Amino acid sequence: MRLASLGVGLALLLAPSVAQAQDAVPADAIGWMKTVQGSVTVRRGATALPASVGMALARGDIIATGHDGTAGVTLADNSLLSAGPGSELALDEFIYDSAQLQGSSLATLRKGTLSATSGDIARGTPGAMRVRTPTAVLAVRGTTFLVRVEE
Amino acid sequence: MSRSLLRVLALVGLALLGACDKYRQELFVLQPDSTGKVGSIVVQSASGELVLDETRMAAHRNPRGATEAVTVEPSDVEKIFGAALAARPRPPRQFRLYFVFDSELLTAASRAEFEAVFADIRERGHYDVEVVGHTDRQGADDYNARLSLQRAWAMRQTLIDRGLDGDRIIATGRGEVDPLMPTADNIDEPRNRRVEITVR
Repeated sequence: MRLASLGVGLALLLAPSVAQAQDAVPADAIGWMKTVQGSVTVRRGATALPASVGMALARGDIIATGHDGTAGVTLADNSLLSAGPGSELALDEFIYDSAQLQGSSLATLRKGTLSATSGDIARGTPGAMRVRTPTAVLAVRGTTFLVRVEE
Repeated sequence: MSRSLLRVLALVGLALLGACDKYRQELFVLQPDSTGKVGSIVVQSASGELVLDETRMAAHRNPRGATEAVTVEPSDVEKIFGAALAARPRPPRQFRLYFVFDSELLTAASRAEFEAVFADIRERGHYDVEVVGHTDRQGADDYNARLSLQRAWAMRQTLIDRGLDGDRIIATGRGEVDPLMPTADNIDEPRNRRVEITVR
């Protein structure tokens, strides 16, 4: 077991650093659901999955909270996103090379409330973390901020 | 349907729309980080760019109007964003532990620091741990690639032996290619013999 894992690890080591960064998290996970209260759904393609703490998130996932729901996410660059009740948050883009601390991310708050804290992507390249609303794009230079979108 | 029921429904409708404060539909508010520092964001929209920083902490914008600066009372921040703020995950923490030359044994100082790592993981309701091993530049590249991985795996195994879930601990190695202190080849710099641990 140990030897087999060692073999896999050595193979990763020889791959380019971007591949290492992707393999540093399971499969194609870009982050993890860390807090879930009330009703929270993750829409992935045509399916709607009930959210649970520890759930791995993929690019394109849409997190939807019910009127009693809240959800908190930690992304692979150590940025934090959390949504209040009645929110829809789409994880549109996430590219991150953990060896170089470089990448870009884009999340869209379609409605509701969002608390966001930037991570290594914004630290590596100010402005490379972006949050979109129906009428604006926020380019983040490293900070914690709040966004509301009313319908 | 009774009149009082209609009134309740109307009130609920208003509450759901949230249209009961002085801010417009889209509202952006900067917050100080855990050290009190305020960063900045650039709000880009059809009406141009507006920079928010410590001198101008918030802006709002309606679907047709320009983005404009606004002052948001702390009590309104709590009212509008309290639930989202309460849902924030615990911030990730990063640790660096050092090793004895050419071994997967921690230095004495890092054995003590390991307890802080373990305590931080245990305090989280749910954890994801990433361990990345590194070596100094003494010795061949291939040898160091293997050694860095052995260090990461030894750390992972120690955490598993202490009762943590191995499925949530990822260990990888980067050999000597990513030194903390850049050196010439074949230099045994102690600060490069390390694992970097991210706890989320």
